[in-house]
Amino acid sequence: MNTDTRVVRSSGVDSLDFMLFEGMNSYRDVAPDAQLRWIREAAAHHVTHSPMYRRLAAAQKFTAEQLERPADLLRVPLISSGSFKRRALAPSGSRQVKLCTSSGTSGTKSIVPRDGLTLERYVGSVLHGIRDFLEDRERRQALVLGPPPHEVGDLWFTYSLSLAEVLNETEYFVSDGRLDSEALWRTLTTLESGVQPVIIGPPSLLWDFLEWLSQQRRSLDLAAREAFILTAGGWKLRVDESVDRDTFNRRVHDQLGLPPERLRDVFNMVELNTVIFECEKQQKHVPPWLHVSARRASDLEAVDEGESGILSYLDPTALSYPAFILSDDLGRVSQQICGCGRRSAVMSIDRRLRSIEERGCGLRMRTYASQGTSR
Amino acid sequence: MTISHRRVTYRNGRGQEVVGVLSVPDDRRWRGVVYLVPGFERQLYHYGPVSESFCRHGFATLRTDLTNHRGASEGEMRHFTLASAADDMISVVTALTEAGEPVVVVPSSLSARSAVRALSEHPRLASGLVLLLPVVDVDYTVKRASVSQWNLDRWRDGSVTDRHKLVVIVEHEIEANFARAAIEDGWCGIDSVASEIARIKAPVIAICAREDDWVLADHVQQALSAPAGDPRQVVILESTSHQLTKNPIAVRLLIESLVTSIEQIAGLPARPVVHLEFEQVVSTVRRERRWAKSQYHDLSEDESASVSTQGSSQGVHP
Repeated sequence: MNTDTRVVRSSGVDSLDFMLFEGMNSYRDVAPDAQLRWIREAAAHHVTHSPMYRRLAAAQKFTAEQLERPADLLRVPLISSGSFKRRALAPSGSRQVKLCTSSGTSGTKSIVPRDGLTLERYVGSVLHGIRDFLEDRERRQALVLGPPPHEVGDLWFTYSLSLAEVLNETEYFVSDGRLDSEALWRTLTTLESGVQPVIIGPPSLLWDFLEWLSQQRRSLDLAAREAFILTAGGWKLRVDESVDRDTFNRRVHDQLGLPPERLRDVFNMVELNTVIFECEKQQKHVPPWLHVSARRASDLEAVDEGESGILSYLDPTALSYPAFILSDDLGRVSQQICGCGRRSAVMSIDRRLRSIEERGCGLRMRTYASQGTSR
Repeated sequence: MTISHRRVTYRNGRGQEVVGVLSVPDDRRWRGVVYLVPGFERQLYHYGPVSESFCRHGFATLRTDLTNHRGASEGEMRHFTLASAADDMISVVTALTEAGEPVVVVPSSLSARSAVRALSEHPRLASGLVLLLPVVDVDYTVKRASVSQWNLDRWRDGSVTDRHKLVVIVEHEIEANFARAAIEDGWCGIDSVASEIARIKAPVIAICAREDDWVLADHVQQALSAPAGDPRQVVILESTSHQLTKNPIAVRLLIESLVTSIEQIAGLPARPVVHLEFEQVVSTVRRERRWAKSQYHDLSEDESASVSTQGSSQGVHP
């Protein structure tokens, strides 16, 4: 009897999914037209499936076919992050969605509808970052400075942290809003040999752990364990206690034995479906599928290289909502090649926008989109 | 539909305890059992979502941890060999078939090599064999997968002669005896795999991935090319690699291929494959990790966490 060979293809596994879930060295072997194609496809999807985005596109006389060259990406209509506040956008498409909410630190909470594919791709962006910026290791234990899954609800930040469990063995060290530093210490000092600890959480709670270590007159040598620390989410309500990066680096080195290259900040916000990782030089690299630009408030044109502007994101990984976002952050985007050797734009955030005047045209965009959702 | 889960144990030929989880749906379509065998460094809980999918399609599953390996079964990882994994499988499949349950064995990666040997020596023991990303050239895969650059040639060329020396293979320290036994007991080379597969008196289906760096699809086709009296099939999944379990879209392709393969072997009509939703996968993974921590003594289900969802037909709501 002869062997029968069957080849199984799926239109579902496209090049973006392969990049997210299995792509290696994607900051070194960058396909030049791929990002443009992914964003064009995502724009076409949202124009077709999102009534709000269709109206926005029509008002700006935009069609996805206009995206022929990378420079055309600046024409993609943006949704102000304010449009997600108070009520959820109607999802693009008909799948069931999870309503993901922001913490509402600066006022009203944002609500973002994510379907299963969008959530999977979010996890894919994390996997991609882990492969490219940490190490693709199996024997890893995530130590989350956040609550366990049954306490997280729909709050996007804590929900995101809880997804660590999908990828690795995970323990949680916050319960009823309180960090259990003693338990974290115990876990770090009793981990099985060969298991790499990765501490994940907001900088404020890591700082609290360092304070606790000081009070207890204890320290750790996590370098021998090849540990990583991933901070995320910023200082939020404790911004007055925040310290500069050098101070943070020094204290982590002194008390945990880890050099700065093992301490990485990662960036995400509820409206963005991608996690942006720092490299060993502590620079935030824009992944190959994501387009980030800094825009002038007056006309939303891109600012010059390295200048500060309102950060905007074109994220093609989201299917259930248009993740073409004009954020509330001022920041910079640089195309200079980073010292780590990766070829990608590098972004940094200066601060939150403070006033209506600073938001400029962004405010008008938000007003339009809000009207769109309430119709 | 209800799925009941039960901790089960077996004894292998060396007297070691093999721990597993038997999952049985109440609307079972086939009286047999799909036996999922983890690959090297994997544990039975990694196959939770696959098992859940099988159960939802009416198939009972058994998953066991390998002995001399990570997980709940006996033995230390440093003593792992291809033969120890084969011994586990023979013992478990024999116990199931003696209890009147037909078995389709679904081993992954390196365990597939052990399963081929096990079933070639007991050619009528299983009703079928579905090899998942099967290692058919042990040398090739160990070279590709070993982070320490360690490979079997170190034993061949005499640079390692102490069989108890610990070497690192895919992040795990195991004794060099693994290499000695692989070489001296004829586990290496595609030809040996091909002749063993030819001896198996049951359908054999291999599912491999086109972009797999550790297992080449061409090698798998070669291994299944020897003439045999029973059906042989190779399924090649496009656009995925050996790491496909981290790729949910590829996992859906895999589940479809697996369920179809088992239906084929069991002689059942094909049914549409329905996939787990993202939150179902997440809750299954969490449940399985929790079960693993209890060494599968506590198989209670998780209380479902509150998750707000909306369908677009419900429109906008705060």
